[in-house]
Amino acid sequence: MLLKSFFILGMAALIAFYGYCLYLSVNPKVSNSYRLYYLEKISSSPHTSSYNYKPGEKIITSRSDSNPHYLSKGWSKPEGDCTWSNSKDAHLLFFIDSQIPTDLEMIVKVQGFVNPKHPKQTVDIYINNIFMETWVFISAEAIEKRLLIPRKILATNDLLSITIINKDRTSLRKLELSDDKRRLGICLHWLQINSKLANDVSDHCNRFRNRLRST
Amino acid sequence: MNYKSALTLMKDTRIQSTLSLFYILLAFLLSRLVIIITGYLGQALFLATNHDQTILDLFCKWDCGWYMPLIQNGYDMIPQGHENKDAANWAFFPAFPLASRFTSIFFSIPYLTAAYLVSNISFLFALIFFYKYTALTLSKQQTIFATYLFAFFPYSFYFSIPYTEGLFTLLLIAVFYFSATNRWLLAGIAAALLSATRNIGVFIIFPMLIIAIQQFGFRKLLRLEADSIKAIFAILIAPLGLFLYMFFLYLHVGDPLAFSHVQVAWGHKISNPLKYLTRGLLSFDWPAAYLASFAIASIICGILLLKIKRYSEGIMTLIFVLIPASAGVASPRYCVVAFPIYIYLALIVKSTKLQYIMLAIAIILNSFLVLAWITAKNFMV
Repeated sequence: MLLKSFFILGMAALIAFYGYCLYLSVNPKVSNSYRLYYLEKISSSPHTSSYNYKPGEKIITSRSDSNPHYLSKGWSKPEGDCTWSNSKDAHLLFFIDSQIPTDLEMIVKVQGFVNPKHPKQTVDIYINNIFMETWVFISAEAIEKRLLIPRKILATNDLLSITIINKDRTSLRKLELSDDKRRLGICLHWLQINSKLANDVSDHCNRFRNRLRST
Repeated sequence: MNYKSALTLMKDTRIQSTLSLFYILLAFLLSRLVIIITGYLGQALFLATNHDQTILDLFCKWDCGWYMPLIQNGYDMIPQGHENKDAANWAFFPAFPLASRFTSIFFSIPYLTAAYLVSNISFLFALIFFYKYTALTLSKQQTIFATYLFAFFPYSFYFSIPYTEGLFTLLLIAVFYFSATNRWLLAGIAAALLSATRNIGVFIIFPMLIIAIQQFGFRKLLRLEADSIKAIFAILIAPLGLFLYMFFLYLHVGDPLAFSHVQVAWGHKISNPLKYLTRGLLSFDWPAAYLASFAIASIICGILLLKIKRYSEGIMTLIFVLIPASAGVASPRYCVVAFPIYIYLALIVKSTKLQYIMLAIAIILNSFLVLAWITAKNFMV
């Protein structure tokens, strides 16, 4: 009887320990860079330094002048003036100081994969896994888009993860236009993230300057 | 039985045991000698520039390069391996590196020598346990043949190099032997060590469960009676090695599943194993087709073991081949630890002449593979 109690107690202890380890497995305590690379598999390197970003820095993604390391997963190599997204979800990663006191604004110059045979391109934009808005492209021309990033998204985390879900991606091969098999979504020309306060001050200064000129 | 006949039986058993031990030692020494001689010959013939390398350095390739720093310095804090600096030694389970480190400290010998010692001593004991386990169900002649096949089989050199195969096979066979002879606590300890040797080791719970059901019946097992409770306890203790390592990884890296997540650095992704093996077999790439055919032959062996109602052995063979294949790995080194394959071959090959032919072919193939290993041919990885 004593032996049986001992075994049952031992088994209960083992099950409790296994349960605790499984709990730790679903709640790992890891760095952002670790999580992005090994768990979420959206970054191209487990080392963070390449994603450090200072607001105001303009990221140009053309062949001649590119910062491709921010374009972590789901992008082709830069070609011509821009870089194409070529998978269902394309990711951009930035480490920004979470102590920035204002909202941020992302400005991008982007074009959709649109042509007479494929007249519309729709993409959903997520910031840190929160849906922000949908962009619809009906022309192949590159346009400037602006997106407000509320400060609270960065409040607890230095990470700014931008996910672009390409809803209408298709390939030139499928459209019988060339042999290119890549299923393209959007082509990113450049991107800049600014502190909203800096933008506001700059807008205010411009308005003041214009008023002075007119008087 | 009177005293005199009991004494005669004891004497007979002792002679039998001594003879068996002689057969096993001979199998071990001869098979290892063939590997060492082939290694020296290969070095002399094919590695003209590496004559100053010792035989120990010669066999230390690929994963051995991961094990040696691990034995010496322990687990990485941050990933630094491979070109992308994303590989870390968390992928390598701790039992073998720990055993090698303790052996090195205890005998005051270099880490590499200690690692070889652990592998070879483990393999010698693996042969002993294999003989004892096989003798439970096979005739003496079949048991000896199976033991020699095990020792000389292609890829059996893995049991003697600083890889986990030697230790893993010892623990695996020990689990089967102790479970089959109703020594469940010893089986549980061996199983816990097995799950700390390689990630796949935790799947030993399935064959253990089958053996327990065969021994006690499903109802008795659930009733937790005096005998059956030990079996349940042993099955429950089996994953302890894995979970302790997970707990260590949580303290060390913050992620208990780091050993699995870091596999991305080696390009391993979970996929359908049968699809992977079929694609490999039908490809025009000969190493892929060869590796896939080795794995498929092992799967067929596993199915045939199930057909002859050796369920625990059949399931184990299937698990040990299919799970690595599901991660896109069809290395024969994962198949050669599936020891029931040798038992099955000993069961079907009854002609002595054929047995000798098979052993001769095994020796030739293993020698060829040793040469491929020391000359670092890619299909050996």
